[in-house]
Amino acid sequence: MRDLVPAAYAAALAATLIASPALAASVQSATAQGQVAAVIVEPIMAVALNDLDFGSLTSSSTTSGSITVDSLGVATYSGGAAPACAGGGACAGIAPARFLVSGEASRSYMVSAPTQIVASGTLIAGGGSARDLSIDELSVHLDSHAGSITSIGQLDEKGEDRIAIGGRLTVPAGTAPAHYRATLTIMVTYS
Amino acid sequence: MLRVCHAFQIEPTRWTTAALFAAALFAAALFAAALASTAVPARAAPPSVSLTADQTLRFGSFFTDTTGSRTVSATGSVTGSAIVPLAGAAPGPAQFTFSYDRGNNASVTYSLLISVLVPSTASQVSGGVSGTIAQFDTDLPGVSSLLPGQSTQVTLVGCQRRICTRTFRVGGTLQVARSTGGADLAIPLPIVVTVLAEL
Repeated sequence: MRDLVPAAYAAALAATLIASPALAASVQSATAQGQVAAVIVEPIMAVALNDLDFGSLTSSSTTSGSITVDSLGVATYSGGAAPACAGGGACAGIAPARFLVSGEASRSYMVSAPTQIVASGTLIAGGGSARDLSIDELSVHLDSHAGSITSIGQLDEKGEDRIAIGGRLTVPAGTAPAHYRATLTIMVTYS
Repeated sequence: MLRVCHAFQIEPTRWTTAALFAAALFAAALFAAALASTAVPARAAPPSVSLTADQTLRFGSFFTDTTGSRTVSATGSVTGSAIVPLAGAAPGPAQFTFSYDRGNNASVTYSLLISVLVPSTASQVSGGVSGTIAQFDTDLPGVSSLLPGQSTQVTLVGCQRRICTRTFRVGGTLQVARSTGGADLAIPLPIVVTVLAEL
């Protein structure tokens, strides 16, 4: 008999819990496996290996001329310009500009280079400034494309490529003897 | 004897009273239970929760010299520090879909109090590159950031149907340290959502 009352209370309590409008949800959890993705690429850079060097030349006092250095370092003279050597000596330095490009293996990249730059000179006699000379027809040759002229390169399996840049130096008639220097800046970016 | 007999007559009477009281309580309980059944439709199933990962948190392609960071916010904005972004797959936030099945079809507007947890810092070392996300952000209402290891409580209001679904996005800042080479980072991003209460 005494058990009936507590049982009844329990039943009433249970009924009260069921009837409660403030429903307390039991703890329910769920997990999702998301992901983060990123591609970190080794930086690309170009290092100058050697300068575009036109060597030593003579100019005519009456006829303008030019020297063209191709990507293989072969010099071609025209007009009043002529080598100041006979196949050796100062002429040995003639070379295209060369750059080593390094970055992530097998990635393609773009080369940006000017087509024309200006060389400023310092007079041999007296050390004053000489008249600027124009260097144009700058052409970019890439080893990854068998030396052809292009602005799109491909890094090899070691992440390297080489760039050669040739150009033409125009020498006006009567150009004073001087040392000429120009800055050739290129930019490489992944494409 | 008379006393004894009297006693015998009284005892059943007392038992009957108590039994009636108990029976009345039990009946009341049953009635209350019946009322309860009327007030809240019978549950078809216990409440359940699901969470799905719909989109990866994408930081895209970029390079950095030694250290840098890229932030992709929950809203999709992208910023960087000491990195150079590259063309390729577009960056974007992760997306998750949370779904709560309250187990019955009662047409009652309700809210959910949930906690959101990113269990730990997301990081990976691959070769000479390490990537770490120490802080996340989300577009869940009232929450600006999610710190790994810390639960964040969010109230989802306006649930009207048996199944309450919310899609939310998670962004973050990827800190990269690079000594050599590059890496394709694929870092797990587990998210735990717990329903604390139905309000």
